[in-house]
Amino acid sequence: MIGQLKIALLIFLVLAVFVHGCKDTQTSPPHLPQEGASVLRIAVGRDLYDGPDSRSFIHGNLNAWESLTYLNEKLQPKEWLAESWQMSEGGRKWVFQLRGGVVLHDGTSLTQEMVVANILRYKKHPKYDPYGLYRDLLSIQPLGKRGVAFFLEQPFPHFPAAINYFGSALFHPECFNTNGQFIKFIGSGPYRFETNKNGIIRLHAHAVYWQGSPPFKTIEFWYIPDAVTRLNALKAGQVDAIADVGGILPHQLTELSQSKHLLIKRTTVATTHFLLFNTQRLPFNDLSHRTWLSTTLDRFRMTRYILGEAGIPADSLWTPLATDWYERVFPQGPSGSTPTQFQREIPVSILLHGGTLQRWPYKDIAEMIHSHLNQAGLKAIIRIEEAGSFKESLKRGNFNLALHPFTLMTGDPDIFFTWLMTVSPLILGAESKTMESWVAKARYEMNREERRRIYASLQKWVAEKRLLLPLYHDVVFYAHKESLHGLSLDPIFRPNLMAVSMNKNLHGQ
Amino acid sequence: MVSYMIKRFLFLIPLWLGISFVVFIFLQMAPSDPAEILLRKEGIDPTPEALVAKQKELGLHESPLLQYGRWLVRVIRFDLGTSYRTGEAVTKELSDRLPATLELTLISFMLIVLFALAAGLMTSLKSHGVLDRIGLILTIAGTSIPSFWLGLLLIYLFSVKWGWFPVMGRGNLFHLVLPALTLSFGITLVQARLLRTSLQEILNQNFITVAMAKGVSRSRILLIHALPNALLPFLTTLGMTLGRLLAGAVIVETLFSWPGIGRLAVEAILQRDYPVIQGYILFTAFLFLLINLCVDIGYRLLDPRIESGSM
Repeated sequence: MIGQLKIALLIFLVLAVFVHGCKDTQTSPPHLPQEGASVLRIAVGRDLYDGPDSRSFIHGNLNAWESLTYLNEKLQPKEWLAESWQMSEGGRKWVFQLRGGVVLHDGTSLTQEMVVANILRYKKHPKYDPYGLYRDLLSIQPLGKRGVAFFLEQPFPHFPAAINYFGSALFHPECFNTNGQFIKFIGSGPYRFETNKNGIIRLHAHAVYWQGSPPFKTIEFWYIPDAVTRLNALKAGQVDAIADVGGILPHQLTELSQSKHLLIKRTTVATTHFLLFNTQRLPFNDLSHRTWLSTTLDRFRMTRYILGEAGIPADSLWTPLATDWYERVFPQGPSGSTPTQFQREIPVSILLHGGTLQRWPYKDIAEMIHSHLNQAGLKAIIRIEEAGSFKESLKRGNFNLALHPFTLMTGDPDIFFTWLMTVSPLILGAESKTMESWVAKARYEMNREERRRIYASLQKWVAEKRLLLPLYHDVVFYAHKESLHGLSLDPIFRPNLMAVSMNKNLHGQ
Repeated sequence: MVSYMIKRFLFLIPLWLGISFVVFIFLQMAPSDPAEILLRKEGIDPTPEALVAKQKELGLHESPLLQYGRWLVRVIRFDLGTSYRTGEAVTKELSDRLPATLELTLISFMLIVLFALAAGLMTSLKSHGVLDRIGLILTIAGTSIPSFWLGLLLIYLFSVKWGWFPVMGRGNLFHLVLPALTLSFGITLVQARLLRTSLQEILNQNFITVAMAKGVSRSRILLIHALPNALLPFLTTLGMTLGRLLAGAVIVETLFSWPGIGRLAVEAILQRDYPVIQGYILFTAFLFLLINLCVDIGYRLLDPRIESGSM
């Protein structure tokens, strides 16, 4: 009897400890080892190291390299390493004036020759120019004291926007071997790349950065693939911030908002999430079936219940931030049309990329679509595949529906249509020729109004054909310790690391 | 003994060759063509002509057996190829990450041995006593709780709530505590239970009764007479445990962002980095075989009655 009582008492004690631990109260943050305010640790949900055989070796979010131009809040081009630009010869010649006083991480100054060498690398090795920005480049040469002239075969109306950010990432020419691969890294950003070890990319301040001295001595980007661990690392004080697109999942916001000492911020970014149709395969080879799903799938409800404030129901092909090109061509909400007669024995496969699940609530969205299809008497399966297999399935048409994000990185519709033509040949099918000719026409059209008209028609055409369905525009939530000031993400989710500072009195709280 | 060890080691070779063949065949069956992956990586449009040329360059046009032979020769020379993603040699990628996995696995293994031995001995002292019952309950709980869930629970309690240990990453000893606990918890309890049952059986045998009648102390009976006899099944499963730890490390390393070969494998799978995947499987298989060899040798050292022919 006494033995049984002892067991009961012990079990009670264990349970009490767990229940106390699970109580939703916040204790003071932990006293973990800190290196002091000179180190800023940012958690991200993806690997920002691209490797030597890539365009830029590391992602632009790291603030280690810069480009000739960048984008403003309206996704229009703004000056960066180029302080101005001029167009002539009907859009066939663009001259960019380089900013003075730009010093690279090895102490050398940025020269016109360096820019030429970098652009020729993109031209010579098309794998580093996936969107073909320099396909029409005839030559590039230094001009005057600080100018660099681009001579193009065709007029390029949106050239400064197209070459922003990744489009003209600049490095010391000594960084590349003859194959264009990186052998070392020398950029011009406020932080220079030091190491990539154990999933942590370490950067050090570039003391002679042209915008001034960076606020932190060291910045670390911690790649934490698991969303729960990422959030716990912030709550436990092991990292100072989570700042990246998909860094915080919508369902984590409630939990996060209950945490003291943490600030949550939001920004609308240039990413839109799509439902892609395989228009070459049953049942969505039939326009009426695509129309039915597009008009009855309640994107308002989806956004409200799954995303909360982390998404805006999409009624356009790209982000409303691109005000110059924004057209509302996809009516929202159920239209009331009745389900069409499907061949019920064919199960519809909804394809998901496994790597996106820890960054966006794609599984929840897929389940909602699954349920919607089931209600219409259509069998459906959700298939989650790793990156390579996912791309392979898209290419070979081994899907009926797929969820896919797209970011309007240049702020110009040309990049969207280029993506649409390449993401899967099974979306456009026979329509690809039509689209190609329209896109080429718009790409070289110098009359802005005419370009706008072509893109408006193209958007309407895509909407009428129901080639894809924009589900929502992304609103990124990011969070940091309250001791951190000035951290912000821009529409292409690059953190502004020059504006960040740490309140030493609050640091470590 | 030496001849036994050599014999056992030689036995590993065909086994490892078999594994390498299975790995090779499985990756041959993967849905994508390495020639196409490489072409795309080099920015070349994979037209049929380009594909044929690349396949020829890589030797993919040859019979699978010949390809396997060539690949095997490279593997024997420790050339596991180059990672598609980082451009580094796979052997370097693996050797860079191996210390972290070994650290985690060995600490977990030590925890298992220590706690399982202690718990096994304590619970066997009094069958159906308080400790024994707690042990039973914990074993059921330990085997039922998935390691990722236990890991999350430990992170929540010990890192987020109480701030005793870091949530993730590798660094000092504090970083090791939660991943090692997560990895070893379930296995420790099962091993303890196994040892307890084995000890109970031994303690009921006649030679123990004789020893007790002769007035040998209880602790001496337990440690000198019963334990060595009870260790044999414990040691056999312990060998398998190391394999389980290596496999389990994939989940735990991902959860705790522990920079070991398990996490490397997950990253490689997500990015379809075939040479790394291949290298990881071969390497862990080799490690697993080596561990089993050590266990077999240890088994024989503990019980010299076991003849090599019976193994």
